[in-house]
Amino acid sequence: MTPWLDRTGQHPAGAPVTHALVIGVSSYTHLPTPQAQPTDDLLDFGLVAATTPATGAFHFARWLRDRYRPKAPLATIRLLLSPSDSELDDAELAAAAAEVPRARRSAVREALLDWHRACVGRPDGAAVLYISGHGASRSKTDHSVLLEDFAADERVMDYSVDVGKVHRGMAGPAMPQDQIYFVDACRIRPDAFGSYRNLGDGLGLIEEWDGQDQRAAPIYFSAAPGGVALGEPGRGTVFSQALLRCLEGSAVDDFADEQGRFQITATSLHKALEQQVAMLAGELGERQDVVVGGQLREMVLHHFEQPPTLPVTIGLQPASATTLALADLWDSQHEAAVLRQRRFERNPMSWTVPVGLYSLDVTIRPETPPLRSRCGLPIMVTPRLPHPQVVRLA
Amino acid sequence: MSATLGEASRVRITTGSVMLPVEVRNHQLRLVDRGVSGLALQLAPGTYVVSAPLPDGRQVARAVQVHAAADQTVDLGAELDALVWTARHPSDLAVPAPGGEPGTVPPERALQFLRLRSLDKAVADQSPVVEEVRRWSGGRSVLVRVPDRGVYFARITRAGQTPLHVALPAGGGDACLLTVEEHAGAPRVAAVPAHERVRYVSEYLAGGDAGHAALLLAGGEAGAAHDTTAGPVGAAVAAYVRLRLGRLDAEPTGTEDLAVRADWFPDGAVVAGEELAMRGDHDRAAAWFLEAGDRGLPVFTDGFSILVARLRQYQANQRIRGRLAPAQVARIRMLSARLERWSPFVDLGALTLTVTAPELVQPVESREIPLRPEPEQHAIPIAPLIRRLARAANDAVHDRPAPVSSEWASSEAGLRCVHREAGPDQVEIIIEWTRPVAEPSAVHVRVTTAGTTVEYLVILTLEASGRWAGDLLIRGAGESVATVVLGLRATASLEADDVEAVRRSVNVTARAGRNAWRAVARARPHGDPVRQAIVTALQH
Repeated sequence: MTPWLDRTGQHPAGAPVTHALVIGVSSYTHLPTPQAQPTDDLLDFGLVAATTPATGAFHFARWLRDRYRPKAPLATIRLLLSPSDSELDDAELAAAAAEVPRARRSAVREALLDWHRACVGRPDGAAVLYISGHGASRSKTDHSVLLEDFAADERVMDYSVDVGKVHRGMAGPAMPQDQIYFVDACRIRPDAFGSYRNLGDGLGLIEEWDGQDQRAAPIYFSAAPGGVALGEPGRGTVFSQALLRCLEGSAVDDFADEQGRFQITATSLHKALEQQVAMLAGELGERQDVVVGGQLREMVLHHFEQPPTLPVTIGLQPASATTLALADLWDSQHEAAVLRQRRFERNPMSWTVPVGLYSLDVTIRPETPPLRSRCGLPIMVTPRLPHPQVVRLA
Repeated sequence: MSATLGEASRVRITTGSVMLPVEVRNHQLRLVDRGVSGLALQLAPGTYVVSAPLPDGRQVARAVQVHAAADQTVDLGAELDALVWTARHPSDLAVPAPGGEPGTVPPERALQFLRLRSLDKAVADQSPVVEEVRRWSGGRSVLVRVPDRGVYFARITRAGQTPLHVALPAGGGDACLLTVEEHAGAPRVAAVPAHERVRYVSEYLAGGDAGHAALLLAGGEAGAAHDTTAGPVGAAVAAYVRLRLGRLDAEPTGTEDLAVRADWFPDGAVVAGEELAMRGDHDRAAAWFLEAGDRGLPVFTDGFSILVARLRQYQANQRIRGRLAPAQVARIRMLSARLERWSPFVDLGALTLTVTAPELVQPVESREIPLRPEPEQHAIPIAPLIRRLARAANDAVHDRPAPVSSEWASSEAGLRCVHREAGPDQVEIIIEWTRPVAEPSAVHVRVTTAGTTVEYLVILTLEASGRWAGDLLIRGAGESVATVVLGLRATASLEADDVEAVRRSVNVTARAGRNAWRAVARARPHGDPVRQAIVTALQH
């Protein structure tokens, strides 16, 4: 299979690299259209075609291509898309979909084996799998995601990917010891799946390794009993939107590494993903959770060349100081100014600055006792801190 | 630490009265050190960020200025107190107050306890004791003590909704905390061990933060893993944290001892098996996984997930399968198939096993009833009594206001159900079965009134109209009654396990129904427990 992105020539032979496999399934040939009602055919699991998974998968693949900075540089992205008609209104997605195979069983099988072969013998490298579509979860590791030709015949589950089999098939000392899996799948109706889950076997990899599994290989997936993964046409699923927000900065860890770089780790991603998914689902009036399965050893997923930017929110007390106060934000050593003479247009007031530790001066002008200026206040800009940080001026 | 002895200051970090993980970063936000509350370290002069991450993903932090040779204590207690510290699922819950008497809580919900006898059987059990109901942070938590050694579930029901079953992380005298969140009218319940250290470790584990859970386990004067008051549940939590992080110590960690000591506890067998599996000793691991299935469902979701995943692996991996005995492979296949029937109904994000299904041990089958649509749609709420009183007060036309009644009928389902007021705080439930009945039968119903949910058997009698019907007279109905029809049972199929249901059903059966129960008793042999239960109830 020809990868959608192939940079293997840019890296020395044998150098640790990252190989990614991204699959997004919105269109289902043998299911009713998204606007139609489910059929009475029990083998359809009460499903209709979807409208958002392929968008999310493409956006993730695009982020990998354009922004991803792992420890082992990106070498390939294998991409398979089965977009819905409405998703093809996105010109960029339509162009990509025209270049890559549809997410049907035979093509996905070939892609899985190809991806596995590329990863063998690269223990210092990394592997990424992102798969999105209709699906079901048996455990925190075992998930089935249905492919475009699902229900082509009575052995319906033959037309699915068994993520648990893939996860176990990627174990062993010859495989990348840093792996990451994203499963963005809405859950099939429990009673239907409970009755018919044995109809066929999902695609996977040969499970050969039986020794100690030393990988860091987390699996991030959406979970809600009996719930569907939410999505917004044109913007992708809630999970994919949240994931992109996390990767753009909100999942940055609280620490810089030895080189002073900020990074996203497996744990910081989980915490941020939970919050972002909850927030986006809440905006739709729904609830959706994120759970992590697989092997949770700590790993660095991505590092930022520059510290990501986050909002810093400063609140003034008493509120009467709002119109009189000017803010100067300095680096922690009070040597370089980041913000100068900023008025508080509202209280509290937010500015966007790079992650870090700062020193804040708040000047009351004109002097208005009992309000008093404050200098050298330490201000933290890191994720997961409660907002606002309050400055008392009287 | 990066300080000369002459300049450095000793900084001690505390977090009020709670033990939490703490971290220290320098002005470049590089990690200087991490540990648990009480951590003391030597720091060079400068600005540092001292923080404590919370289980819900937030953190409290303070920038601290360290001056040369100036020891200090940094207490983040004030920042913690300012936060609303929420558990994963805080909520309101209708429960019996301590002592078992109904509490002053909304009657829409009911709490029962079930004991899991095996993967096939769960029975109502009154032995768990509600010791305290506490309101905190806008929600409520319930302290439940489980005196017996066994696997227990809390069953939370609400009229017209699928029940929620939550495994209790307690047993053999331990206690646990239940909190419930209300979301879109449906309950989400979380359960954590009540032992303080184990509780916090569990909260971090539930939030996917195994790293900080491990810090808490290792820190302090005595880590939770070695705290003998933590019990088998605490030991299992510690094991799950270690297993999540893939930490295998050079020496065995005592998980097999736990599995042997707590021979009622499925999770003990799961963690023993998982540790062996991670070391590559799949033969022994398989034995423990099968033992876990014999003990019942794991209490922790991680345990359920590990069991399902490993059993699938052992069926698919030829190398491993080849080392197991054929009988073991067959048992693995059966147990795997059995457990996967729960998978679609399990909340994989919950700490303890949480199953949304009408019946805990038959999640698939209990959804397959002979009536359509789904049983929850048969719930017929009666107009609240308070509305009846309000209407009567304004009704000057009638000498006596007509009793409130509601009716639901479906020709497709072959059912007609009526709720009718039958006196102060009493409701008559009438069931008509419009399809032919080939043998003496009873309609299995679940009735939810103020604070309780009870199942009854409504014995059917043939009326002059040619229809089969039965009725119950429910006392203490409170403001609302909801009935769910679960199916039709031939009375010949009643067994010893049905004795309690038969007894209470006869007690509330009126008129012709009591004669029908007499006929059922006469048709059963002497000494039969169902016959005896009917006879005893008819005498009262």
